[in-house]
Amino acid sequence: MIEISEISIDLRNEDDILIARQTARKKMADIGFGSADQTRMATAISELTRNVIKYAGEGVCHIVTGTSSSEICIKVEIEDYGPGIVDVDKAMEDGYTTGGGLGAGLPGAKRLVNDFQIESQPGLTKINLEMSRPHV
Amino acid sequence: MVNENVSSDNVENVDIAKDVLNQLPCMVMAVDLDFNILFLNNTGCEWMGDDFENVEGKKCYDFVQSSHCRTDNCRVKQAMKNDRKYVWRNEITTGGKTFPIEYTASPLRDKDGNIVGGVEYVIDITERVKIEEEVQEHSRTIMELSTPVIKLWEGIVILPLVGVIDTMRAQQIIENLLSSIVENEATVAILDVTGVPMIDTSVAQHILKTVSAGKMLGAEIIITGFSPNVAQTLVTLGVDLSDIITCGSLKDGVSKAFTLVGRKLV
Amino acid sequence: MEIPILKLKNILLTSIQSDMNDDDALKYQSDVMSTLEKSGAKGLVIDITAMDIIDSFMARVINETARMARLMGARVVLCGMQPMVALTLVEMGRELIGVDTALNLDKGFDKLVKMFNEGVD
Repeated sequence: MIEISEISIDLRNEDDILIARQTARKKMADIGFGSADQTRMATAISELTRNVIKYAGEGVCHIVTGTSSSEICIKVEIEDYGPGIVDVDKAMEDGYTTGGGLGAGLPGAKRLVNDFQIESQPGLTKINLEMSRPHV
Repeated sequence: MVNENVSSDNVENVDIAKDVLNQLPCMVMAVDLDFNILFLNNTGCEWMGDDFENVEGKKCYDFVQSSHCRTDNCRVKQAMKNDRKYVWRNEITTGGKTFPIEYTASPLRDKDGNIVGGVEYVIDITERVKIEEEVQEHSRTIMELSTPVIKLWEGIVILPLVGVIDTMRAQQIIENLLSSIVENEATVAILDVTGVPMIDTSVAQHILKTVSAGKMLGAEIIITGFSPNVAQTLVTLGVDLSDIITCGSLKDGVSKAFTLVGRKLV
Repeated sequence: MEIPILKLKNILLTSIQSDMNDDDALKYQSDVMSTLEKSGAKGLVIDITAMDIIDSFMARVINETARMARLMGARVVLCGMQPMVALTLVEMGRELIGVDTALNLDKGFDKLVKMFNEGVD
């Protein structure tokens, strides 16, 4: 049996960062992800949703979790309609920052998940995160 | 003349194709845009326990039931809508039996290339699922057996590693060791790799990660028992382990741990 | 949300809660600094047992708080980090936290007292 569950969280202010990452953590716990993976994904979501609030003002975070007999999986899509990332390659480098942080946001988030895709243009930035584990 | 030849060839080809489809040991079904059955091969008829004449033109979901049926999750529906192929696992009930399947769905086209329905082939994966479950059960047992963290003394835990370490197991080891450091309030943890025949760059990276994470928690991690082979490989690979405390033998590691704890207890 | 800052002899004790938003974090930072100045405490223990997520922003706030406190003459110990949080920070890029650490509040306190004693010689 394959079960899929989906939820969307509007990102409007800083408190939504907390809601998004707590929701993801809870959903992951529900389908049997371990606490290390929960922490990884929640941290990645925290980094990326903060970018949305900081640079784009607002956006949406979609969280989809799925279980089958062989696998558990979470996919997260974070999108915003802000100015976009001018140089995606550069933003993925360690230590590159325009916002006064440590510059570990994007590359750090990428290291925490299995799959990381980013598309950015003025008006639409989409980041996809994915993590899957064998169903135990 | 020429034209007639071509068309009779075509008829023959269609017959052969139908024959082949009928002899396939998996279900092949084609439906129109409203899910009326256009074609069903012999295996499909056997599964449903019905003849093709009885099912033709009727709704597919009246003969086969699954969690996807009559929802947007139906991969045939998605294939027709998005014009692409889908492969998915599910469980179906048909002819009074329920079993796990894998189905591949793709759009069905007419001569002009317009999408007029969907076609799917369905494989019974009962055996495959059974084997997978057994494998999972085994790896779970091995996983539990393979990372025992032992409390050696007040403030000292030890994790002896035996056997080959892959990435999955390395992850498990790190998580176990870090959690047990906190649970046991251990300021020193010993990771003994005497029983590990091979350590490659990726496992070495995991060890480094563990040491850094341990330090952030407020504990020291001692690695003991690098064999000459392992030491040689690591140096040749250029892995920098200079930041970590290493001891040749577990014995030296234990005495080092006591010194560390002792000094801290004063 | 107000984070209590307790004073015990010459040590300040603070405990950060998990669901703290960015404004709370920055307010916490300035509260700690002003309390440090007013009280003249020589040590600061930051307890993060309740934090189940530390992203690079929170790591920076903690890091900076520790560095600022040190500039004001206080020794700092960070304690109670969750194991999976430590692992995640290392995986993100391990230089994020450069503060003295201890397993729990108890050990953090001991560590500070030990630092004081060593400093006396």
